[in-house]
Amino acid sequence: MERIDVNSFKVLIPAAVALAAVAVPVLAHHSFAMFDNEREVWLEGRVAHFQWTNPHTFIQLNVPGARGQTVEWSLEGGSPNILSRNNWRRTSLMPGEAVRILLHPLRSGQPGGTFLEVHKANGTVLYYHG
Amino acid sequence: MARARLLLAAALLAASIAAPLNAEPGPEPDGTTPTDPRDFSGVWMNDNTLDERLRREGRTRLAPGESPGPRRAVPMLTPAYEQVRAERLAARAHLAEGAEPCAWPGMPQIMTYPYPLEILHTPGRITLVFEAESQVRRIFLDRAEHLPFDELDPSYNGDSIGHWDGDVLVVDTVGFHEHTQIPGGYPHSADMRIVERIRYIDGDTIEVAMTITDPAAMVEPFAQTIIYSQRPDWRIREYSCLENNRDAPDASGQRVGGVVPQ
Repeated sequence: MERIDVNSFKVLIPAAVALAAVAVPVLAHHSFAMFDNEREVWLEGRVAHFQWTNPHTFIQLNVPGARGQTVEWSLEGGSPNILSRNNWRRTSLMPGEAVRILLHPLRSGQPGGTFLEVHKANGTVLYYHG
Repeated sequence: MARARLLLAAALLAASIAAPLNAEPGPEPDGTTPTDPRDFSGVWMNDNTLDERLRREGRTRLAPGESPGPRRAVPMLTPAYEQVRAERLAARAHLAEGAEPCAWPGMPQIMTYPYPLEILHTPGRITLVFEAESQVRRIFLDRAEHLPFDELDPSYNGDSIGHWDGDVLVVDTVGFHEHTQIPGGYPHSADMRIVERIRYIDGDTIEVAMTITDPAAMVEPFAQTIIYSQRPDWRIREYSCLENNRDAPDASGQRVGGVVPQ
């Protein structure tokens, strides 16, 4: 696991692009091949918005960069249907809340990914997959 | 790294504590028997989804680079339908990675979606209510013949009639259009016929042994078996892909909602 420096993530990510994943139809909607499932990275930031919507949820996360700027990341997750059965609720994440998130980043190097674990300040951990 | 290992250990421990008991069906069949082998009432979940598998294994995610599962079996297409498949793939070539419009899954794909279904018994009929796209399949037990041709409008889920063979519910379905596909992007013709043999394999597990026959599109019948476990504490929720589909392709094939904030 590694920690992403938001000032250099565009440099770090292309090295993994060659490791193409085999798309297996386990999802109802789109392929997750755009995410680099070889890499797990941590992000720390504050929740801008939690989109509890189908077909996929999104955590919009404001991540402070080393030079003082803020980068907003889009972190995609399972549907509310799947997450609710893994103990998530629509109220699980509130705007402004500080979280640490484990994710697979986008292969493209853009500030996005698919979240795996969300660690809240109170110690609660929410998992995409139960 | 030590911190990462600690976090992983904590995650695995939390996962083992959090795993709900009813999500661990264990080896099936488990030797139990249903109260009424001809009553499939209740909420059922496909055992072979990524979440169900990880839950059974007490895990919360795949290892980095781990495949989500074995490649599923796919039908062997006739040359004419290999061409149809190639044309459909070519038509998608302009789409950005991850761009995906919404579509009803229809048969047979609805039966393997990673969402539960509820089975209802009413006089003369068994009804499957799917969480995915709020789809419904009605299996008519009070009708021995399919609808006549002029009433058999091509549809996503077809016309299903059923009868009992012992304690096996045999369902015969015809009447499809060609908008749907076999999972994996394999086309079928409008003459596809699907026969399902549905039975309990233990007290809280049912099996759907499905055979798809389509001589125009497939060189041989395609068979698959789907296992569902009963989920008495689940309720069917709503799932519409159209609600907030950020992945829908725009005119140039890009994801309309943007991969990242605009």
